Amino acid sequence: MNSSGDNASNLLVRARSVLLDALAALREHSDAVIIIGAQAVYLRTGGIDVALAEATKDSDFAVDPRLLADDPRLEAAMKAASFVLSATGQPGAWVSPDGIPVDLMVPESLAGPGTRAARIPPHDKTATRRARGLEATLVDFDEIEVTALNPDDRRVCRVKVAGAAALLVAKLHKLGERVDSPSRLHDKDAHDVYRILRAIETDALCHTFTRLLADEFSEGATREALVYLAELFATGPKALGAIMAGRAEEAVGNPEQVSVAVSILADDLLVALGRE
Amino acid sequence: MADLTELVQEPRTSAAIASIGMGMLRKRLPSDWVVIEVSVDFKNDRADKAFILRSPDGAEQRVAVEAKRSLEVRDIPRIREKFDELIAQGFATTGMITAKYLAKSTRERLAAVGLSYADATGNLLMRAQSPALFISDRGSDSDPWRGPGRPRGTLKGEPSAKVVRALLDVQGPWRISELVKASAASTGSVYRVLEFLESEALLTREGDGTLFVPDWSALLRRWSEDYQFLGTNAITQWIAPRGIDSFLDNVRKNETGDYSITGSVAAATWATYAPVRSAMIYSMNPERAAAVWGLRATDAGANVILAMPTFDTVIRGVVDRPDGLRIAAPTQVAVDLLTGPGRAPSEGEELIKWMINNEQLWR
Repeated sequence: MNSSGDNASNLLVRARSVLLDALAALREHSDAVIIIGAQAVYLRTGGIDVALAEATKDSDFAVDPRLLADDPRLEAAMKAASFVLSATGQPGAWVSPDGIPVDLMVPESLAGPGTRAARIPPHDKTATRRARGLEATLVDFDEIEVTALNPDDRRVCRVKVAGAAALLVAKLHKLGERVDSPSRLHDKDAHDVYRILRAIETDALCHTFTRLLADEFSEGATREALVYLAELFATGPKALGAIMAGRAEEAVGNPEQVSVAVSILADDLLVALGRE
Repeated sequence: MADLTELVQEPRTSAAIASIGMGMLRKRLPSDWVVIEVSVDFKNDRADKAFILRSPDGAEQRVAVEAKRSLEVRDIPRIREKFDELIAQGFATTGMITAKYLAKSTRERLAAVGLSYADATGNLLMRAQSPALFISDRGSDSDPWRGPGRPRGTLKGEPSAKVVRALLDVQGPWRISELVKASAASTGSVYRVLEFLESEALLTREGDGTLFVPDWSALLRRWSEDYQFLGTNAITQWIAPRGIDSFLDNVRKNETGDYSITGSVAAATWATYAPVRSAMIYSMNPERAAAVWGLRATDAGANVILAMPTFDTVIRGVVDRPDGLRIAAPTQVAVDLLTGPGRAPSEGEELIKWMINNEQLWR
C-alpha cells in the first residue's frame, strides 16, 4: 500500500497508471465500463482553483451489464492482468499488484437479486458489486481520451467517463446513504460535490439534470439525489454536507468560504431546476 | 463577524448615507427576502434613493430614501409631507430616513409619524404592512462623530489623501504651486498638510522653498495610520461562490464603469505574492456592482470586499490593464493592502518591496 514516501501527486500518478491497467484488462468490455468516482471528478473539473489538492488512489468503474459480453469473464480478465480480489472479501473490490484499489460496480437496478454482489451471470458474483445511485452514470457520460500522468508513460485510452451531473448524483447518494453511519462519511466526498458545483455552470448542470429526470432509467436515482442535495447542502452553510466540504479544506484553505459557497451553488441548481 | 459598516466609519457622502438602510436590512432579513435598489428621478429631487423590499411570497414595498447628514425634530413634518406626496403620486409605498446619526428624540418622533429610519451607528426601524415587517435595532445614543473641533495633526480626510497621493505618485522636487495643482486640494489645506509632514520629518523644504519627500515609503506608511481601507470607506462583504478567477471573468464581461480593483488582485499586476483568493474593489455603487457581477451578500466566508469610497482620490490614476481589469494606482493599492484584512498587510509589504526596487517603473 502507501509507502511512507508517497505524496498526493505521486499517488495520483500511480492511481492513473492503475486506471489505465484496468482499462486494458477490460478492453474487450470497453463499451460496458464507465469511469466514475474521484478520478472522473478530476477529469471533469480539472484546472479549477481550489485549495484542496486532487488526491485519490481508487479507480471506480460503473459496469453496464446490458452491454457486457459473456466473454471474457470479468474475473478472468482482471486476473489475467494481475489484479486480485481484495482481502476484505468485498465483491467487486479489486487491487493491483502494488495494492491500488479498483472497484467494479453495477447500478442497483441492474444488479439482480442479492444484497452485496451484483448477479450478472455468466460473470462471477465476486467480480462486481451492486451500488445505489449509479444509474445516472449510464445515461450521462461521454468519451474522453485519458492519458497517463507520468510523462514516460505514453498510453492513451479513449474511454467513457461519467458526466458532471451523473457524478454529482453518485456522490450525493454516497453521502446521503451514510448520514446515519458517520464513520463511513468522508469530508472529501462532500468537497467533490463542491468541486463539481464550482467547476460546472449552473445552467449546464440544470440542462443535464433535466435530461436525467426525463429518462426513466435514471429518474429515481436523480430525484433522490436532489433530495440529498437540498438537505445536505442547499439549506445553508450549516448543513452537514456544506460543513463537511468546508472541513476538507481545514488548514489548507478557507472552510467557512467553501461552506457558504457550496450551499449557494446547491441552492442555485435547485432553483434553476424548479424553473424548468 | 462584526459588521464593519455599523461599527466604525463615518459615512461622508450622501450616497454612502443613503445606502445605510439597505445594507442593514439585507443583513437582518432571511436570505429569501430581496432588497434591491431601483432608479429614482434625481432631477425632480424626489428622493435620494429608492429600493424594493420583497418577501418570499412576493409582497413588496417600494421604499423611498431621504439621506440627511443631520436631522432635527423640527425637520420631520416637512419630510413626512414630502413622503406623503411621493406615495400619493405612486413613486413609493413608504419612506425611510437615513442619516449619519439620529438622536433619540429624533428617532422617537420619526417612529411616531410612521417613518422608518436607519443611521450609521446601527439605529434601525423598518415597518411595513405588506409584507408584514417590523425590524428594530439599537445603535448609539450619542453622536460618535461630534467632536470639540477638527482633530489636528493627522493625515485623515480628503485633503490629506489628495496631497499625499500627489507626493507619492510623482517624484519631486515640488514647488507649492505645482503641488496645489497636482493634488487638486485647496491652497490652505496643502499648507496645513505640508506643515504636518514637515513636523513628522516626512518632507523637507529647501531654502528656495522647493519640497522633497526623502522617503516615499515612510510617507506611505504614515498615511496608512490615518487612512484605513476598512475604516475610511463604506465596506460591504460578499462572496463569489465560484471563486475569484471566475468572478474576475464576470468583472471583465460586465462593465459597470465606476470601479477600480485594489488589494491583492491589483498587486499581482506588479508583484506576485501567492494565489489570489480574495478581492478588494472600490465601487461607486456597490449594490449594483454586486448584482451585475453575481456576488451574494454574506456575513461569513466573504471573498470579495466592496468599498464605496469616502472620497474620490482613491480612483485617481487608475489604469485599464491589458486583460480588461481596471486597477487602482500602485500607491493606493499599497496603502489599502497595509490596512486590509487577513494577510493583506504582508502582501502590502511585498508590494512596497517591489516598488522600492522598481521605482522608475511606476513613479
